Amino acid sequence: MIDSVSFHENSNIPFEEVLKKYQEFWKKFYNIPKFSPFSLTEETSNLVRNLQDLLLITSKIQYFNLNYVTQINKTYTEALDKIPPNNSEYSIQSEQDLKKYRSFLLGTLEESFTNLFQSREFGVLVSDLMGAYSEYNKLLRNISNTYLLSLNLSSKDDVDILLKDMQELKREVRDLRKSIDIIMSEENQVAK
Amino acid sequence: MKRIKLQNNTTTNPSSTEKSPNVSISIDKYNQDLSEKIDKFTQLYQNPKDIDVGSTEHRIIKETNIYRLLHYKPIFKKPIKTPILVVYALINRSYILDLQRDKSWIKNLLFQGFDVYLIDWKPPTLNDKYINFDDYVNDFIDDCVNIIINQGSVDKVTLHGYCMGATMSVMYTTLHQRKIKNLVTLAPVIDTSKDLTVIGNFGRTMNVDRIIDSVGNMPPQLLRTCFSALKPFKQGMNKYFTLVEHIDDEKFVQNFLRIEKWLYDVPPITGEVFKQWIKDIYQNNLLAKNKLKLGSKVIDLSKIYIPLLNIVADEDHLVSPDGSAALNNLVSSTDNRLMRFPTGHVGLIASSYSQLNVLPRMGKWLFSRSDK
Repeated sequence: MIDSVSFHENSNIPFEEVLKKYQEFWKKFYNIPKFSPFSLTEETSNLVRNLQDLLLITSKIQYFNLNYVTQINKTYTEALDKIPPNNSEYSIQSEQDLKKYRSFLLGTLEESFTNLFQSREFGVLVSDLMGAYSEYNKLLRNISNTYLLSLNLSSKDDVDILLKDMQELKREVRDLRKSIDIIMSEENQVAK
Repeated sequence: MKRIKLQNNTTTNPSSTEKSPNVSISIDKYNQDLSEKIDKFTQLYQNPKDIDVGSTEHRIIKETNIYRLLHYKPIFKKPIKTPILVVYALINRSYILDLQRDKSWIKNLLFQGFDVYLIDWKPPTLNDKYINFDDYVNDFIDDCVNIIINQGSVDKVTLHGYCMGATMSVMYTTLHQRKIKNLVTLAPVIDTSKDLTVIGNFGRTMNVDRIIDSVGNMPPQLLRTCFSALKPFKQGMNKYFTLVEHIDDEKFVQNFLRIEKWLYDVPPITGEVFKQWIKDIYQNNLLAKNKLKLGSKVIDLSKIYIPLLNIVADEDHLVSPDGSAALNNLVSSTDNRLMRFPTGHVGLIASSYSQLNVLPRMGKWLFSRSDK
Protein backbone atom coordinates (compact mmCIF):
# COMPACT_ATOMS: atom_id res chain seq x y z
CA MET A 1 0.00 0.00 0.00
CA ILE A 2 2.73 2.45 0.96
CA ASP A 3 4.49 2.09 -2.40
CA SER A 4 1.68 3.91 -4.16
CA VAL A 5 1.93 6.91 -1.84
CA SER A 6 4.34 9.76 -2.40
CA PHE A 7 5.83 11.26 0.72
CA HIS A 8 6.29 14.57 -1.06
CA GLU A 9 2.85 15.20 -2.44
CA ASN A 10 1.89 17.35 0.50
CA SER A 11 3.83 20.49 -0.22
CA ASN A 12 2.90 22.85 -3.01
CA ILE A 13 6.47 24.19 -3.18
CA PRO A 14 9.38 21.73 -3.11
CA PHE A 15 11.03 21.75 0.30
CA GLU A 16 14.46 22.68 -1.12
CA GLU A 17 12.98 25.82 -2.68
CA VAL A 18 11.48 26.92 0.62
CA LEU A 19 14.88 26.61 2.25
CA LYS A 20 16.52 28.50 -0.58
CA LYS A 21 14.03 31.37 -0.27
CA TYR A 22 14.73 31.70 3.45
CA GLN A 23 18.46 31.75 2.88
CA GLU A 24 18.18 34.32 0.12
CA PHE A 25 16.01 36.48 2.32
CA TRP A 26 18.59 36.59 5.12
CA LYS A 27 21.64 36.72 2.88
CA LYS A 28 21.63 40.52 2.78
CA PHE A 29 22.19 40.70 6.51
CA TYR A 30 25.27 38.53 6.37
CA ASN A 31 26.86 40.90 3.88
CA ILE A 32 26.88 43.78 6.36
CA PRO A 33 30.50 44.33 7.47
CA LYS A 34 31.37 43.42 11.05
CA PHE A 35 34.59 45.43 11.53
CA SER A 36 35.36 48.69 13.31
CA PRO A 37 32.54 51.25 12.84
CA PHE A 38 30.17 48.40 11.90
CA SER A 39 31.12 46.14 14.80
CA LEU A 40 27.78 46.51 16.53
CA THR A 41 26.14 44.69 13.63
CA GLU A 42 27.85 41.45 14.67
CA GLU A 43 25.35 40.84 17.46
CA THR A 44 22.47 41.47 15.07
CA SER A 45 24.03 39.13 12.56
CA ASN A 46 24.24 36.37 15.19
CA LEU A 47 20.61 36.89 16.16
CA VAL A 48 19.56 36.81 12.52
CA ARG A 49 21.51 33.61 11.95
CA ASN A 50 19.86 31.97 14.97
CA LEU A 51 16.47 33.10 13.79
CA GLN A 52 17.12 31.78 10.31
CA ASP A 53 18.19 28.41 11.69
CA LEU A 54 15.06 28.29 13.85
CA LEU A 55 12.88 29.05 10.85
CA LEU A 56 14.58 26.38 8.78
CA ILE A 57 14.16 23.75 11.45
CA THR A 58 10.55 24.61 12.22
CA SER A 59 9.85 24.46 8.47
CA LYS A 60 11.36 20.98 8.41
CA ILE A 61 9.24 19.96 11.39
CA GLN A 62 6.12 21.23 9.66
CA TYR A 63 7.06 19.46 6.43
CA PHE A 64 7.65 16.09 8.07
CA ASN A 65 4.58 16.49 10.28
CA LEU A 66 2.38 17.14 7.27
CA ASN A 67 3.73 14.05 5.54
CA TYR A 68 3.19 12.05 8.71
CA VAL A 69 -0.41 13.20 9.09
CA THR A 70 -1.04 12.58 5.39
CA GLN A 71 0.13 8.98 5.72
CA ILE A 72 -2.05 8.42 8.77
CA ASN A 73 -5.12 9.98 7.10
CA LYS A 74 -4.56 8.08 3.86
CA THR A 75 -4.23 4.79 5.66
CA TYR A 76 -7.29 5.52 7.75
CA THR A 77 -9.45 6.36 4.72
CA GLU A 78 -8.16 3.42 2.69
CA ALA A 79 -8.95 1.10 5.58
CA LEU A 80 -12.47 2.46 5.93
CA ASP A 81 -13.02 1.96 2.20
CA LYS A 82 -12.63 -1.75 2.84
CA ILE A 83 -15.61 -1.74 5.20
CA PRO A 84 -18.70 -3.08 3.41
CA PRO A 85 -21.82 -0.86 3.16
CA ASN A 86 -24.70 -1.02 5.59
CA ASN A 87 -26.92 -3.41 3.65
CA SER A 88 -24.25 -6.12 3.69
CA GLU A 89 -23.57 -8.88 6.19
CA TYR A 90 -22.52 -6.22 8.70
CA SER A 91 -25.94 -4.64 8.95
CA ILE A 92 -26.37 -3.94 12.66
CA GLN A 93 -29.55 -5.08 14.37
CA SER A 94 -28.38 -6.36 17.70
CA GLU A 95 -25.64 -5.98 20.27
CA GLN A 96 -23.98 -9.07 18.83
CA ASP A 97 -23.96 -7.47 15.36
CA LEU A 98 -22.42 -4.36 16.83
CA LYS A 99 -19.61 -6.33 18.45
CA LYS A 100 -19.03 -8.29 15.27
CA TYR A 101 -18.88 -5.08 13.27
CA ARG A 102 -16.55 -3.44 15.79
CA SER A 103 -14.21 -6.39 15.68
CA PHE A 104 -14.18 -6.30 11.87
CA LEU A 105 -13.59 -2.55 11.83
CA LEU A 106 -10.71 -2.71 14.30
CA GLY A 107 -9.21 -5.68 12.47
CA THR A 108 -9.29 -3.82 9.15
CA LEU A 109 -7.75 -0.69 10.65
CA GLU A 110 -5.14 -2.76 12.45
CA GLU A 111 -4.06 -4.53 9.29
CA SER A 112 -3.74 -1.30 7.30
CA PHE A 113 -1.85 0.57 10.02
CA THR A 114 0.47 -2.32 10.78
CA ASN A 115 1.35 -2.46 7.06
CA LEU A 116 2.10 1.25 7.18
CA PHE A 117 4.17 1.06 10.39
CA GLN A 118 6.14 -1.90 9.06
CA SER A 119 7.05 -0.16 5.81
CA ARG A 120 10.59 1.15 5.47
CA GLU A 121 9.36 4.48 4.04
CA PHE A 122 7.28 5.18 7.11
CA GLY A 123 10.19 4.19 9.37
CA VAL A 124 12.38 6.71 7.54
CA LEU A 125 9.71 9.39 7.88
CA VAL A 126 9.44 8.79 11.65
CA SER A 127 13.20 8.94 11.88
CA ASP A 128 13.24 12.24 9.93
CA LEU A 129 10.57 13.69 12.18
CA MET A 130 12.40 12.68 15.34
CA GLY A 131 15.60 13.97 13.79
CA ALA A 132 14.01 17.35 13.10
CA TYR A 133 12.87 17.62 16.73
CA SER A 134 16.41 16.74 17.77
CA GLU A 135 17.87 19.43 15.54
CA TYR A 136 15.48 21.93 17.08
CA ASN A 137 16.58 20.95 20.61
CA LYS A 138 20.20 21.12 19.62
CA LEU A 139 19.82 24.58 18.15
CA LEU A 140 18.07 25.86 21.28
CA ARG A 141 20.93 24.43 23.30
CA ASN A 142 23.52 26.14 21.12
CA ILE A 143 21.72 29.46 21.46
CA SER A 144 21.46 29.12 25.24
CA ASN A 145 25.15 28.11 25.42
CA THR A 146 26.09 31.52 23.97
CA TYR A 147 24.27 33.30 26.80
CA LEU A 148 25.54 30.93 29.48
CA LEU A 149 29.11 31.72 28.46
CA SER A 150 28.51 35.44 28.66
CA LEU A 151 27.14 34.90 32.19
CA ASN A 152 30.29 32.97 33.14
CA LEU A 153 28.29 29.73 33.52
CA SER A 154 29.27 26.31 32.23
CA SER A 155 27.64 25.34 28.98
CA LYS A 156 25.88 22.00 28.47
CA ASP A 157 28.84 20.84 26.39
CA ASP A 158 31.23 21.59 29.28
CA VAL A 159 29.02 19.61 31.67
CA ASP A 160 28.85 16.74 29.16
CA ILE A 161 32.63 16.50 29.03
CA LEU A 162 32.72 16.29 32.83
CA LEU A 163 29.99 13.64 32.95
CA LYS A 164 31.75 11.54 30.34
CA ASP A 165 35.06 11.77 32.18
CA MET A 166 33.38 10.85 35.46
CA GLN A 167 31.78 7.77 33.94
CA GLU A 168 35.11 6.66 32.48
CA LEU A 169 36.77 7.17 35.86
CA LYS A 170 34.06 5.09 37.53
CA ARG A 171 34.76 2.28 35.07
CA GLU A 172 38.48 2.44 35.78
CA VAL A 173 37.82 2.31 39.53
CA ARG A 174 35.47 -0.67 39.00
CA ASP A 175 38.09 -2.55 36.98
CA LEU A 176 40.78 -1.77 39.55
CA ARG A 177 38.52 -2.92 42.38
CA LYS A 178 37.82 -6.19 40.59
CA SER A 179 41.49 -6.78 39.87
CA ILE A 180 42.26 -6.25 43.56
CA ASP A 181 39.48 -8.69 44.52
CA ILE A 182 40.97 -11.35 42.24
CA ILE A 183 44.47 -10.84 43.65
CA MET A 184 43.12 -10.96 47.23
CA SER A 185 41.19 -14.16 46.63
CA GLU A 186 44.24 -15.78 44.99
CA GLU A 187 46.39 -14.76 47.96
CA ASN A 188 43.80 -16.18 50.35
CA GLN A 189 43.85 -19.48 48.51
CA VAL A 190 47.66 -19.60 48.61
CA ALA A 191 47.59 -18.81 52.34
CA LYS A 192 45.13 -21.67 52.95
CA MET B 1 -15.67 7.42 4.09
CA LYS B 2 -18.58 5.00 4.42
CA ARG B 3 -20.89 5.03 7.40
CA ILE B 4 -22.94 2.30 8.96
CA LYS B 5 -26.09 3.34 10.79
CA LEU B 6 -27.61 1.52 13.72
CA GLN B 7 -30.80 0.03 12.28
CA ASN B 8 -33.49 0.72 14.83
CA ASN B 9 -36.00 1.94 12.29
CA THR B 10 -38.31 -0.52 10.54
CA THR B 11 -38.28 1.37 7.27
CA THR B 12 -34.58 0.86 6.75
CA ASN B 13 -34.86 -2.88 6.56
CA PRO B 14 -38.20 -4.11 5.19
CA SER B 15 -37.20 -7.77 5.34
CA SER B 16 -37.05 -7.67 9.15
CA THR B 17 -40.38 -5.99 9.80
CA GLU B 18 -41.55 -8.51 12.42
CA LYS B 19 -38.40 -8.29 14.48
CA SER B 20 -37.92 -4.55 14.37
CA PRO B 21 -39.73 -3.39 17.57
CA ASN B 22 -37.56 -5.74 19.65
CA VAL B 23 -34.49 -4.73 17.75
CA SER B 24 -35.26 -1.10 18.42
CA ILE B 25 -35.72 -1.70 22.15
CA SER B 26 -32.60 -3.80 22.31
CA ILE B 27 -30.37 -1.27 20.57
CA ASP B 28 -31.86 1.65 22.49
CA LYS B 29 -31.24 -0.11 25.80
CA TYR B 30 -27.74 -0.97 24.69
CA ASN B 31 -27.08 2.66 23.82
CA GLN B 32 -28.45 3.82 27.17
CA ASP B 33 -26.34 1.29 29.10
CA LEU B 34 -23.32 2.22 27.06
CA SER B 35 -23.82 5.89 27.73
CA GLU B 36 -23.94 5.24 31.50
CA LYS B 37 -20.85 3.10 31.31
CA ILE B 38 -18.96 5.73 29.34
CA ASP B 39 -19.82 8.25 32.07
CA LYS B 40 -18.33 5.91 34.68
CA PHE B 41 -15.29 5.36 32.48
CA THR B 42 -14.76 9.12 32.17
CA GLN B 43 -15.06 9.55 35.93
CA LEU B 44 -12.57 6.75 36.46
CA TYR B 45 -9.95 8.48 34.33
CA GLN B 46 -10.67 11.91 35.76
CA ASN B 47 -10.35 10.69 39.36
CA PRO B 48 -7.86 7.83 39.30
CA LYS B 49 -7.73 5.81 42.50
CA ASP B 50 -4.53 4.59 44.09
CA ILE B 51 -3.39 1.44 42.40
CA ASP B 52 -1.34 -0.98 44.44
CA VAL B 53 1.41 -2.93 42.68
CA GLY B 54 4.47 -4.89 43.80
CA SER B 55 2.89 -6.03 47.05
CA THR B 56 4.87 -9.24 47.67
CA GLU B 57 6.89 -8.88 50.84
CA HIS B 58 10.55 -8.05 50.27
CA ARG B 59 13.49 -6.19 51.69
CA ILE B 60 15.98 -3.98 49.90
CA ILE B 61 19.44 -5.50 50.02
CA LYS B 62 21.20 -2.68 48.23
CA GLU B 63 20.15 0.64 46.75
CA THR B 64 22.16 2.93 44.48
CA ASN B 65 21.10 5.77 42.19
CA ILE B 66 20.75 3.18 39.38
CA TYR B 67 19.08 0.15 40.95
CA ARG B 68 17.56 -1.52 43.99
CA LEU B 69 18.32 -5.16 44.72
CA LEU B 70 15.22 -6.72 46.26
CA HIS B 71 15.09 -10.00 48.17
CA TYR B 72 11.64 -11.54 48.45
CA LYS B 73 10.68 -13.26 51.66
CA PRO B 74 10.70 -17.01 50.94
CA ILE B 75 7.41 -18.84 51.49
CA PHE B 76 9.12 -21.94 52.85
CA LYS B 77 11.53 -22.10 55.78
CA LYS B 78 14.09 -23.89 53.66
CA PRO B 79 13.89 -22.63 50.09
CA ILE B 80 15.71 -24.21 47.16
CA LYS B 81 19.39 -23.45 47.70
CA THR B 82 20.26 -22.02 44.29
CA PRO B 83 18.85 -18.49 44.32
CA ILE B 84 17.22 -16.86 41.30
CA LEU B 85 18.28 -13.36 40.29
CA VAL B 86 15.63 -11.78 38.08
CA VAL B 87 17.02 -9.15 35.73
CA TYR B 88 14.26 -6.88 34.55
CA ALA B 89 14.38 -4.80 31.35
CA LEU B 90 15.26 -1.09 31.14
CA ILE B 91 11.87 -0.47 29.50
CA ASN B 92 8.89 0.23 31.81
CA ARG B 93 9.14 -0.83 35.46
CA SER B 94 9.82 -4.15 37.13
CA TYR B 95 6.56 -4.35 39.11
CA ILE B 96 4.93 -6.03 36.09
CA LEU B 97 6.52 -9.18 37.56
CA ASP B 98 4.59 -8.63 40.78
CA LEU B 99 1.58 -6.79 39.43
CA GLN B 100 -1.17 -8.37 41.49
CA ARG B 101 -1.47 -11.22 43.92
CA ASP B 102 -3.05 -13.81 41.59
CA LYS B 103 -0.85 -12.98 38.60
CA SER B 104 2.50 -12.38 40.25
CA TRP B 105 5.45 -14.01 38.52
CA ILE B 106 7.58 -13.50 41.63
CA LYS B 107 4.99 -14.91 44.03
CA ASN B 108 4.53 -17.99 41.89
CA LEU B 109 8.27 -18.70 41.98
CA LEU B 110 8.22 -18.27 45.77
CA PHE B 111 5.34 -20.74 46.05
CA GLN B 112 7.37 -23.20 43.99
CA GLY B 113 10.02 -22.99 46.72
CA PHE B 114 12.58 -20.73 45.07
CA ASP B 115 14.64 -18.00 46.74
CA VAL B 116 14.06 -14.93 44.57
CA TYR B 117 15.98 -11.68 44.10
CA LEU B 118 15.10 -8.92 41.64
CA ILE B 119 17.04 -6.02 40.15
CA ASP B 120 14.67 -3.07 40.07
CA TRP B 121 16.23 -0.49 37.75
CA LYS B 122 15.61 3.12 38.75
CA PRO B 123 14.93 5.84 36.17
CA PRO B 124 18.27 7.32 35.08
CA THR B 125 18.85 11.06 35.24
CA LEU B 126 20.74 13.18 32.73
CA ASN B 127 23.85 12.69 34.87
CA ASP B 128 23.69 8.99 33.96
CA LYS B 129 23.56 9.43 30.21
CA TYR B 130 27.03 7.96 29.61
CA ILE B 131 26.19 4.72 31.42
CA ASN B 132 26.33 1.94 28.85
CA PHE B 133 25.76 -1.82 28.66
CA ASP B 134 29.27 -2.42 29.97
CA ASP B 135 28.24 -0.66 33.20
CA TYR B 136 24.89 -2.42 33.48
CA VAL B 137 26.37 -5.86 32.85
CA ASN B 138 29.86 -5.76 34.34
CA ASP B 139 29.16 -3.37 37.16
CA PHE B 140 25.54 -3.41 38.35
CA ILE B 141 24.48 -6.99 37.53
CA ASP B 142 27.86 -8.31 38.63
CA ASP B 143 27.58 -6.45 41.95
CA CYS B 144 24.16 -7.99 42.54
CA VAL B 145 25.38 -11.50 41.70
CA ASN B 146 28.33 -11.06 44.08
CA ILE B 147 26.08 -9.82 46.88
CA ILE B 148 23.73 -12.81 46.50
CA ILE B 149 26.60 -15.29 46.36
CA ASN B 150 28.17 -13.84 49.51
CA GLN B 151 24.89 -13.51 51.37
CA GLY B 152 23.48 -16.91 50.45
CA SER B 153 26.74 -18.83 50.90
CA VAL B 154 26.38 -20.28 47.42
CA ASP B 155 28.85 -20.20 44.57
CA LYS B 156 26.34 -19.84 41.75
CA VAL B 157 22.96 -18.29 41.01
CA THR B 158 20.29 -18.85 38.39
CA LEU B 159 20.13 -15.80 36.14
CA HIS B 160 16.64 -15.10 34.86
CA GLY B 161 16.01 -12.16 32.53
CA TYR B 162 13.00 -10.72 30.77
CA CYS B 163 13.07 -8.91 27.40
CA MET B 164 16.01 -6.46 27.42
CA GLY B 165 16.89 -7.91 30.85
CA ALA B 166 17.16 -11.33 29.20
CA THR B 167 19.53 -9.89 26.60
CA MET B 168 21.66 -8.40 29.39
CA SER B 169 21.57 -11.74 31.23
CA VAL B 170 22.89 -13.45 28.12
CA MET B 171 25.69 -10.86 27.85
CA TYR B 172 26.53 -11.35 31.53
CA THR B 173 26.61 -15.13 31.24
CA THR B 174 29.16 -15.08 28.41
CA LEU B 175 31.54 -13.05 30.58
CA HIS B 176 30.91 -14.41 34.11
CA GLN B 177 29.75 -17.96 33.53
CA ARG B 178 31.50 -19.41 36.56
CA LYS B 179 28.96 -17.61 38.78
CA ILE B 180 25.88 -18.83 36.91
CA LYS B 181 24.24 -22.21 37.39
CA ASN B 182 21.32 -21.87 34.95
CA LEU B 183 20.27 -19.24 32.46
CA VAL B 184 16.53 -18.70 31.98
CA THR B 185 15.54 -16.14 29.37
CA LEU B 186 12.08 -14.78 28.60
CA ALA B 187 11.62 -13.13 25.20
CA PRO B 188 15.25 -12.06 24.73
CA VAL B 189 16.23 -9.78 21.85
CA ILE B 190 18.99 -11.74 20.08
CA ASP B 191 18.89 -12.03 16.29
CA THR B 192 17.31 -8.87 14.93
CA SER B 193 17.73 -9.94 11.29
CA LYS B 194 14.68 -12.12 12.00
CA ASP B 195 12.76 -9.26 13.57
CA LEU B 196 9.63 -8.29 11.63
CA THR B 197 8.06 -6.10 14.30
CA VAL B 198 7.15 -2.42 14.05
CA ILE B 199 9.77 -1.68 16.73
CA GLY B 200 12.37 -3.49 14.65
CA ASN B 201 11.42 -1.37 11.63
CA PHE B 202 11.66 1.89 13.59
CA GLY B 203 14.94 0.73 15.13
CA ARG B 204 16.53 -0.08 11.78
CA THR B 205 15.68 3.31 10.26
CA MET B 206 16.36 5.48 13.32
CA ASN B 207 19.18 8.04 13.31
CA VAL B 208 19.85 7.38 16.96
CA ASP B 209 23.03 9.47 17.24
CA ARG B 210 21.19 12.59 16.15
CA ILE B 211 18.38 12.01 18.65
CA ILE B 212 20.56 11.14 21.63
CA ASP B 213 23.06 13.92 20.96
CA SER B 214 20.24 16.40 21.37
CA VAL B 215 18.21 14.88 24.22
CA GLY B 216 20.85 13.06 26.31
CA ASN B 217 18.71 10.13 27.43
CA MET B 218 15.99 8.53 25.32
CA PRO B 219 12.92 10.39 26.64
CA PRO B 220 9.78 8.51 27.75
CA GLN B 221 7.52 10.41 25.35
CA LEU B 222 9.51 9.22 22.32
CA LEU B 223 9.51 5.66 23.63
CA ARG B 224 5.75 5.83 24.16
CA THR B 225 5.33 7.09 20.58
CA CYS B 226 7.11 3.98 19.32
CA PHE B 227 5.10 1.65 21.56
CA SER B 228 1.81 3.23 20.51
CA ALA B 229 2.41 1.90 16.99
CA LEU B 230 2.19 -1.67 18.30
CA LYS B 231 -1.27 -3.13 17.68
CA PRO B 232 -2.84 0.35 17.87
CA PHE B 233 -6.41 -0.82 17.36
CA LYS B 234 -6.76 -4.42 18.52
CA GLN B 235 -4.96 -3.59 21.75
CA GLY B 236 -4.55 0.17 21.89
CA MET B 237 -8.22 0.94 21.25
CA ASN B 238 -10.16 -2.25 21.78
CA LYS B 239 -9.03 -2.51 25.39
CA TYR B 240 -11.00 0.65 26.21
CA PHE B 241 -14.15 -0.82 24.66
CA THR B 242 -13.62 -3.88 26.81
CA LEU B 243 -13.08 -1.71 29.88
CA VAL B 244 -16.30 0.20 29.25
CA GLU B 245 -18.18 -3.09 28.92
CA HIS B 246 -16.77 -4.34 32.25
CA ILE B 247 -16.81 -1.01 34.06
CA ASP B 248 -19.07 -2.39 36.83
CA ASP B 249 -16.72 -5.29 37.53
CA GLU B 250 -14.44 -3.87 40.24
CA LYS B 251 -11.86 -6.66 39.95
CA PHE B 252 -11.61 -6.27 36.19
CA VAL B 253 -11.23 -2.51 36.51
CA GLN B 254 -8.47 -2.82 39.12
CA ASN B 255 -6.57 -5.33 36.99
CA PHE B 256 -6.98 -3.10 33.96
CA LEU B 257 -5.71 -0.04 35.81
CA ARG B 258 -2.67 -1.89 37.09
CA ILE B 259 -1.62 -2.82 33.56
CA GLU B 260 -2.45 0.69 32.38
CA LYS B 261 -0.30 2.21 35.13
CA TRP B 262 2.59 -0.03 34.08
CA LEU B 263 2.16 0.73 30.35
CA TYR B 264 2.45 4.47 30.94
CA ASP B 265 5.19 4.20 33.56
CA VAL B 266 8.05 4.53 31.07
CA PRO B 267 11.38 5.77 32.45
CA PRO B 268 14.02 7.23 30.14
CA ILE B 269 16.82 4.99 28.88
CA THR B 270 20.39 6.23 29.20
CA GLY B 271 21.62 7.72 25.94
CA GLU B 272 24.60 5.40 25.57
CA VAL B 273 22.57 2.26 26.23
CA PHE B 274 19.95 3.34 23.73
CA LYS B 275 22.60 4.02 21.09
CA GLN B 276 24.11 0.56 21.62
CA TRP B 277 20.68 -1.04 21.67
CA ILE B 278 19.66 0.50 18.33
CA LYS B 279 22.97 0.62 16.47
CA ASP B 280 24.74 -2.51 17.69
CA ILE B 281 21.79 -4.78 18.26
CA TYR B 282 18.98 -3.65 15.90
CA GLN B 283 20.90 -2.08 13.02
CA ASN B 284 24.09 -4.17 12.92
CA ASN B 285 22.86 -7.34 14.66
CA LEU B 286 26.22 -7.64 16.45
CA LEU B 287 24.94 -9.83 19.29
CA ALA B 288 23.87 -12.65 16.96
CA LYS B 289 27.10 -12.24 14.98
CA ASN B 290 29.18 -12.63 18.17
CA LYS B 291 30.73 -9.21 17.53
CA LEU B 292 29.11 -7.07 20.24
CA LYS B 293 31.68 -5.41 22.47
CA LEU B 294 31.21 -4.36 26.09
CA GLY B 295 34.23 -2.27 26.95
CA SER B 296 37.15 -4.29 25.63
CA LYS B 297 35.35 -7.65 25.83
CA VAL B 298 33.54 -9.34 22.96
CA ILE B 299 30.24 -11.10 23.67
CA ASP B 300 30.58 -14.54 22.12
CA LEU B 301 27.37 -16.51 22.64
CA SER B 302 29.04 -19.77 21.66
CA LYS B 303 30.93 -19.58 24.97
CA ILE B 304 27.73 -20.30 26.90
CA TYR B 305 27.72 -23.94 27.98
CA ILE B 306 25.57 -23.90 31.13
CA PRO B 307 21.92 -25.16 31.08
CA LEU B 308 19.74 -22.78 29.10
CA LEU B 309 15.97 -22.45 29.10
CA ASN B 310 14.72 -19.97 26.53
CA ILE B 311 11.01 -19.07 26.76
CA VAL B 312 9.40 -17.39 23.78
CA ALA B 313 5.91 -15.98 23.15
CA ASP B 314 4.65 -16.84 19.68
CA GLU B 315 2.30 -13.85 19.57
CA ASP B 316 4.92 -11.39 20.77
CA HIS B 317 4.60 -8.20 18.68
CA LEU B 318 7.36 -6.36 20.55
CA VAL B 319 10.18 -8.89 20.34
CA SER B 320 10.10 -11.17 17.30
CA PRO B 321 9.72 -14.78 18.54
CA ASP B 322 12.06 -16.10 15.84
CA GLY B 323 14.67 -13.53 16.82
CA SER B 324 14.45 -14.76 20.43
CA ALA B 325 14.43 -18.45 19.55
CA ALA B 326 17.69 -17.99 17.63
CA LEU B 327 19.52 -17.99 20.98
CA ASN B 328 19.24 -21.76 21.35
CA ASN B 329 21.20 -22.28 18.13
CA LEU B 330 23.92 -19.81 19.04
CA VAL B 331 25.02 -21.25 22.41
CA SER B 332 27.11 -24.36 23.08
CA SER B 333 24.99 -25.66 25.99
CA THR B 334 24.15 -29.33 25.66
CA ASP B 335 21.33 -28.88 28.18
CA ASN B 336 19.50 -26.45 25.95
CA ARG B 337 15.73 -26.07 25.86
CA LEU B 338 13.35 -23.83 23.95
CA MET B 339 9.74 -23.45 25.13
CA ARG B 340 7.22 -21.61 22.96
CA PHE B 341 3.84 -20.45 24.21
CA PRO B 342 0.87 -19.10 22.21
CA THR B 343 0.69 -15.78 24.05
CA GLY B 344 2.01 -12.20 23.81
CA HIS B 345 4.93 -10.28 25.31
CA VAL B 346 3.12 -9.21 28.49
CA GLY B 347 0.82 -12.25 28.57
CA LEU B 348 3.96 -14.35 28.93
CA ILE B 349 4.68 -12.93 32.38
CA ALA B 350 1.56 -11.25 33.78
CA SER B 351 -1.51 -13.30 33.00
CA SER B 352 -3.57 -16.20 34.23
CA TYR B 353 -2.23 -18.08 31.23
CA SER B 354 1.36 -17.67 32.37
CA GLN B 355 0.44 -18.76 35.91
CA LEU B 356 -1.19 -21.93 34.61
CA ASN B 357 1.06 -22.80 31.70
CA VAL B 358 4.42 -21.02 31.64
CA LEU B 359 5.48 -20.91 35.29
CA PRO B 360 4.78 -24.57 36.19
CA ARG B 361 6.84 -25.80 33.24
CA MET B 362 9.62 -23.34 33.89
CA GLY B 363 9.64 -24.20 37.62
CA LYS B 364 9.85 -27.91 36.87
CA TRP B 365 12.80 -27.39 34.52
CA LEU B 366 14.57 -25.17 37.03
CA PHE B 367 13.86 -27.32 40.09
CA SER B 368 15.66 -30.31 38.58
CA ARG B 369 18.72 -28.16 37.85
CA SER B 370 19.00 -26.33 41.17
CA ASP B 371 20.85 -27.32 44.35
CA LYS B 372 18.28 -28.26 46.99
